[in-house]
Amino acid sequence: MFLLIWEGAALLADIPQLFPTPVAVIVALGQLLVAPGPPGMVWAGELMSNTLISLWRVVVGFALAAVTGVFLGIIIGWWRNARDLLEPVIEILRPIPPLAWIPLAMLWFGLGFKPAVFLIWLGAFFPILLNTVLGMENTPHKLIEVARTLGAGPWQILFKVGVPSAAPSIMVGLRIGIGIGWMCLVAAELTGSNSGLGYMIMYYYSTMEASKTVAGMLMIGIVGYLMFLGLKKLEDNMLFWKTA
Amino acid sequence: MSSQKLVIDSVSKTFLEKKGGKSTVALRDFSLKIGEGEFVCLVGPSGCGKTTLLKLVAGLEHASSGYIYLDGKLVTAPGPERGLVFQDFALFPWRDVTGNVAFGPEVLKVPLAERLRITEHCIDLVGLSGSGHKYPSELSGGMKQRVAIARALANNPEVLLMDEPFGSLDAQTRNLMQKELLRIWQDNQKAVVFVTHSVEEAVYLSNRVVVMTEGPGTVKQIYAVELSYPRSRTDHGFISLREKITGCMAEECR
Amino acid sequence: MKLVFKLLTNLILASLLLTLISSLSACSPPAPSTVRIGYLLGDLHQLPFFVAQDKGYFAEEGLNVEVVGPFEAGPAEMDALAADQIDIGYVGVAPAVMAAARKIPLSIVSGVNLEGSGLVTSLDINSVAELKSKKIATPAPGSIQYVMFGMLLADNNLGFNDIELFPGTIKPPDMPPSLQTKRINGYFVWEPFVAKSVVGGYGKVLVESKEIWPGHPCCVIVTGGDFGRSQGGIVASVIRAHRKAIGFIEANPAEAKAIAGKWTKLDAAVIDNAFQRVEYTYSLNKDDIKKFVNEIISLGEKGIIKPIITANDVPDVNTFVDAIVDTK
Repeated sequence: MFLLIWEGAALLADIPQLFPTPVAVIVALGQLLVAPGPPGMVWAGELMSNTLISLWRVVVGFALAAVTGVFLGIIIGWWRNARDLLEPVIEILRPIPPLAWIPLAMLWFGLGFKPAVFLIWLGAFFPILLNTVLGMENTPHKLIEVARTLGAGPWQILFKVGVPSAAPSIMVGLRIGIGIGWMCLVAAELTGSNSGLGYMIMYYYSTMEASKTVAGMLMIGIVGYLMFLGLKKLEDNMLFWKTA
Repeated sequence: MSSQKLVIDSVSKTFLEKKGGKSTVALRDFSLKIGEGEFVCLVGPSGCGKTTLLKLVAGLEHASSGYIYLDGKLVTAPGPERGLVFQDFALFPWRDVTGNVAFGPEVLKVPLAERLRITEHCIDLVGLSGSGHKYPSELSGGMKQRVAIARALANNPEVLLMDEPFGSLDAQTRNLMQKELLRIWQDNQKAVVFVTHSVEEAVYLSNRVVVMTEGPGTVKQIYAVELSYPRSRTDHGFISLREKITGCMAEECR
Repeated sequence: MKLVFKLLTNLILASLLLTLISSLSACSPPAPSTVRIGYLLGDLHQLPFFVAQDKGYFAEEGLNVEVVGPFEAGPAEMDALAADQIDIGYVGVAPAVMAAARKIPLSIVSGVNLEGSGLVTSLDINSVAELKSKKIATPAPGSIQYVMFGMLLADNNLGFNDIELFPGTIKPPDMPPSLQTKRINGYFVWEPFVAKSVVGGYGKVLVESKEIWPGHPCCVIVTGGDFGRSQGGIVASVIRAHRKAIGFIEANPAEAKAIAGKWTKLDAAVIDNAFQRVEYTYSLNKDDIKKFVNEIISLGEKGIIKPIITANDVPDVNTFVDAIVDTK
């Protein structure tokens, strides 16, 4: 249904260079699949090799965000002093859109892999951090009291009560984080990349091959959806105890 | 003369409101001595401070004045020798039954083999054998409370503190749990301090019933329950004691 | 009697007033027509546009120019043309033919300049062969510099696969600083950003674009297909102003350089150095443009550059170029 509307609208607008039809996009997808990849990855085809390159960047950026976000989140969520100290800094940095960091990223990290990973880290970090903090802060008081009466010391309470209690929230944060991190991909690859899906999209924007541009965007959407599915599955497996 | 297991000596507790600085006196000069293996119930109107008293004995709050001694030692902080059971179970939802019951020995670093033995023993004791792998979300209210009791018992506490533990159960389950609790108590002979709204429950379960005044709470009257176990709710002695205590709560204590 | 007199007087006064008003409006000049013109970021090649605007040549032709831009590269400007956001564009001939190959209706109506681009590298590089595996930046794929860099590599038996190319990822004004901080080893771009590194002392011109192809066409004036047909008068006016500007640049280089400095935001020393590499002309050579299109196609076929225009897009180069070039 959606495809029909798209096809109709594209034909009406009649600017194939800017507004491709779904048919053109599917054709472009096919072309990109078989076109040779860059040197060293010729076999994978242009579409898949760029996808893998981007995926790798997002995985690294996300992993860094997960480690830093959860670690800091536990500290800020558990100890009032840490929160009072760090909260202002975080609240100032958080609203700045990743796009605005591009010039700085290129200045600090140069071109290619590193600034892209930095931007993805930026995008994923804050939701992970905030959801972890929330999860820790919302540890039910009763459970902490119970643990105390059972003889648990403060570190035991943190790791045996606080963290498991926060786990659902942390998983939500991770899921949101990777979504945002993947969305930052195009912005991230504007920081002087010459490979990856984001770069590919901008490349075909320049050569006015809109159908390939949209095909690239479609691929970003598909991979993003698959990642979401994957994490959801992981979440369901880990948090099975929640279902009543 | 009974041995003094738990001594509560002229304890008072005042709460200061965070905003506005108003203060509420919850407990006023509360004194009580509980002996080894005794089952004592605290009854009283809402707001009389019974839960606060329990928390003080547990060590989760500090008394504003007065002292609490367990086996002659001053109580200052929570500890495994004073087990606590809440009305809303407070089980760890991410641990199964075995995991919940094993929590105490686990944090006290009891070696694995011993820990497994204790856990299994306590699960059997509360009548949940074979359900060790189930999760709290799969359990009924009664079963959850059994787990909570088993969990508290796993640390072999000197005294068991129970805050209206059967309050959120239906009548049938409640009666069942009362019988179960008596069975467990008679089995391990630990002192129990049991807070409840229900006079009937207090008479059914305890050796002594302590009636508290309205807040600021203190001891109004103490009744000894000399009926033999198991008790019958329709027994003449049961009923007359129940009426006496109810009357005492209302106004006059005879 | 008095009434009649009054009426007559009123009538005479009214008609006098009317004639006065109509004669006044006949004397006032016609309202200027608005035309939207796009241009490229800091591009010294487009100096005639800057001069025509600053010296009021467009206004003299009765044109009200809405300046649109600057665009960071030709393809983006052609996108704007296709989306009807500009009427006329000062742009490189490569993006223009690429847009035409994508069936965007346009006409190339005048030349702007020849040559005027260059490959700048760090001081330690001495030959094109040494560029292998080095990081080189160019404007977006489809720009002249992108294609000519391909031509240069082909002449030296290399291709884009031998280079770490960064097409379109670094804006031209950011290219000199990137070279200075050693993020890249070189770049191929339009003046005056070539001169900037030279004057700054951290880069050298390894190859000038005119060495690759002497007298190669560079920037042109392009108009959207519809606009060219319906507003031929305006197009002619623009070209007249443009030619006046070129004449001015030849006669008054000092003042022209000052205007260049203002629009490119670079200092006089850089403009001076860059000026010598640019040649302004309003003539168009169809054969040269045909050669250009053929180059793009064959470079793509040989795999030197990624294909931008293929033989499929343009089956017959001659008719293709004849159709889009329209000098009056």
